Amino acid sequence: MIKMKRLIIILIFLQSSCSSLANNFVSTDALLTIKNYISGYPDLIISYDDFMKRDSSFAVIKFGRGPSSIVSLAYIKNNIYEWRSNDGIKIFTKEGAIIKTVGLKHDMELNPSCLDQILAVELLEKQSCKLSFYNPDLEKAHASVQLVKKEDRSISRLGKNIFIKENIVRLNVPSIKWSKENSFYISDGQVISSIQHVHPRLPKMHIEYYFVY
Amino acid sequence: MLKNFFASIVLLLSNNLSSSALDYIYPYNYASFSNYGTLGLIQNPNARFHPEGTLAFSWNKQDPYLRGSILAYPFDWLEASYQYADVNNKLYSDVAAFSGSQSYKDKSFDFKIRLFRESQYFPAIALGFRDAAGTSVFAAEYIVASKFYKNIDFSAGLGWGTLSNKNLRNPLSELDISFDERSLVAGSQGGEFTFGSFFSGPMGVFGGMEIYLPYSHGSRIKFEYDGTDYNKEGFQPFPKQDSKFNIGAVYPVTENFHLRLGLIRGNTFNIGFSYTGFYGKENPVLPKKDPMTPIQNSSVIRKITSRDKTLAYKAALKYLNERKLYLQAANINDSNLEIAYSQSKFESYARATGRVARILNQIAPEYIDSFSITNLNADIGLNKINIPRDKLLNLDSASGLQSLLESTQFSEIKFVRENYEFTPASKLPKTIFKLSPVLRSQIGGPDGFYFGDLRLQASAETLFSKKISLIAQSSIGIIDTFDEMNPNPDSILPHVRTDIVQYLKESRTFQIKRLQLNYFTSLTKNIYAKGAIGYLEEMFGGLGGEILYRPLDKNYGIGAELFHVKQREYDQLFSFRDYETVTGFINLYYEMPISQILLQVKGGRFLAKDSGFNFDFSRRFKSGMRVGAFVSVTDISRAEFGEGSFDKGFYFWIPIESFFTKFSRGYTGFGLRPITRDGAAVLVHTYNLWGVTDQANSNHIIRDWSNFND
Repeated sequence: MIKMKRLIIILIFLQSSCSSLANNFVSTDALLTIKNYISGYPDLIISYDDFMKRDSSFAVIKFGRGPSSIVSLAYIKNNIYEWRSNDGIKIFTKEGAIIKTVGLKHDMELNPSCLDQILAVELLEKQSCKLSFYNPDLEKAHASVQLVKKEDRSISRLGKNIFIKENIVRLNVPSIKWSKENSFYISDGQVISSIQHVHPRLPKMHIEYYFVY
Repeated sequence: MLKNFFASIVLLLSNNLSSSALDYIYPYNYASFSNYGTLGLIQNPNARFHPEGTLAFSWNKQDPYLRGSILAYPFDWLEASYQYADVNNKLYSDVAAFSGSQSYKDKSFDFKIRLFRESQYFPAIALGFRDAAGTSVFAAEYIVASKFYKNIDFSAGLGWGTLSNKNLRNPLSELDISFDERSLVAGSQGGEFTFGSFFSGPMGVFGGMEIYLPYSHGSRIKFEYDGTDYNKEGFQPFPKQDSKFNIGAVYPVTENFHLRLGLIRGNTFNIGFSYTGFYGKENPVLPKKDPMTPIQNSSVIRKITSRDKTLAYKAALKYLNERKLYLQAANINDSNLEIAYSQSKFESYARATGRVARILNQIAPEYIDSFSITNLNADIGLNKINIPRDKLLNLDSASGLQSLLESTQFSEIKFVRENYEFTPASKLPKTIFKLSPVLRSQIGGPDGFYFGDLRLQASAETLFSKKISLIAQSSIGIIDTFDEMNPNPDSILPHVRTDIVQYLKESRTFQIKRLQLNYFTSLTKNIYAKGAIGYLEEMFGGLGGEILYRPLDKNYGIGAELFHVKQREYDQLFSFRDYETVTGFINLYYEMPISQILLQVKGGRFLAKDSGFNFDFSRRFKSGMRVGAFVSVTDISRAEFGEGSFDKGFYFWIPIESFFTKFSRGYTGFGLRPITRDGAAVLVHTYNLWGVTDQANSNHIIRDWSNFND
């Protein structure tokens, strides 16, 4: 969505009327933005060598077809992981699920307890939660999460194919009729990658975790 | 859809939903555009407005019209739009040699003013004017009321001109019999307000509703009783109307981009889209992610800088320069650290000042208890800001920032480099170079609606000394559509602008747009001067100067400029044409500090040797965007001026940093004169003093004071 805004804006401002002799300035960033809008931003692939060079845990996040960013693990407190980007965005996760964001255009916060059993014990029953969205603000809306599907599959990671388990969890906010399915890719009991919808006004977010012990 | 609609009514009646939930049930709920190009229903207007600082573009196709509109909301009670309508049932002119088979193009200016805000029980009421200053082909006036009930926005109004479908007797005739008859086009050259015909002739009624559909991504459907009298709009053959009821739908792809579709007159489909940018607010497109890099081990640095003044100067030089705040001079007098710096990264002067102060606070010797910070532009000192150091300790709260502001002193300064103990050497000359694509456009001419070329422009600025710079801009053409464009100036004035076609065509391969050598200085603390020589703009070169008196604590400025210029050859290389003149103005500026409205008046002699005044009104918004309009009155007659009757136009500029996550300086924008004429033409030399000395006004720092700690 952000990219689209940029494209349209830049195309508009590339136009200038000679009848006004208006000056205009368009930096070369504009061309790059247009190119990325058409083709999408390339994925950031972490190779085994890249991973080995890191001395702390990190995650790669990407919204929709937008650019990838790296967030570093800042703290672990009460099994909640706080990831920070160098431009001030904070993402809090529990068992790989995003439970809070700070610094995005649209933030969210989810009561984490409802996810505990679903992700850790793979409970199939629907669990109730309180979920808040920000900008616009919708505080403590009733939500439910439910594990709806489990399947085994293989993915490529750090240059090799590995077998993982994919758990699909449905997040439902009935008051605004918002229902999305989030995928969690689990290897050795740990979520190593995930595709999650964090806010109705944001594209889905792909997050890959790289843990350094 | 119907089920959803009733479900929403039930939900709303239950009063259990917070207004925040409604933002998700009815997302992207800003008002939508009508086919006419302004906010409204399908064909009818309504009394809705966008937030102030909004810019928009609307496009619509409905036989026999194709219409494009640019809209601005300088206030939340004023909608102003400029439109082009392609009328496909009439030729541009009856003379085929002039315009071939091109269809008629109509330019029009509309505006709408809100009279009353909507309250719980009373509707919003607005007064609007369509095609108010044009050929009056679509001219109408209306008064309209809009009121939300649940998720339905009802609108109803009375219309005159083309909005008088019912042909009711005009009640204003009771006041004056002249309201009975509606006169047609007022001015022979167009471009003038048709005051004499406003609210005259028969009256009509219109109304309808816009229903916001729940859980439908912000979609709406619209129903209306059409107020248009199609026998008064446009040209014969008038479109046939089979039904007075129209139906339409709007689908918001995003908050900003809406698609619309409708069935009008019972026999014609319309399709359109609109793009709306809410550029007035701070960080309108992307939030900034460009915090100040903290200084490591600052306590150790402070201990070191306390030993020797030279170490303090060098530390300031290093840590400021690393953050693109370039230290130019420094002094320590007892417990005061005084520095002068220049920067080209931040549009917000408060943000730049704040970062300088916070860096100095981290590295300056402990015995320093105040900072005096001078911002330079073109080596001219524009202000001196004295900040007590102890007030920098509590900047995280609004009260701390307010306390700092109350303790901060702003004063004028005449910067003299020799008065400073530490003046780091600069490597000069220094050149900054940039490549960028540019598009030159010619819109609405008789040969075709649009001609343009895409070019690659090289821009360079060379600093020979701190006060002398050379601006060079040249470009090469990549692709153009100028072949079909023919010169047809009918102006009886010297052709200072109307030879635009020759300029565009002959410079299509290569162009030196500007080659301007500048010298800047300050004569006293608040009098600034500039000299310039070279190719000052695309059509004129010459030499001249400008002087400006601008007190720091006042909201006005008085200046003068005088240039001897000669017209450049069409190829825009090195040679000149025969025409030369002296042009000059007395310039008055007044800025309203609260509303940020700037009024500029130029009085003097224009390029075509006509004399008169140019009035320019503009408003700056929190984001830094500026929206403005101008009008000129000179001693030439409307007939001498030609089509359009007098010079006028509008523009808007948006900071480039709005579109990126990093701070940067520079603006992108759009400006338009409805028609290119020679009267009231102004020399467009770059770096005018009012802009160069923008920081020489303490209000321009105080207005963004919340950015100090950013």
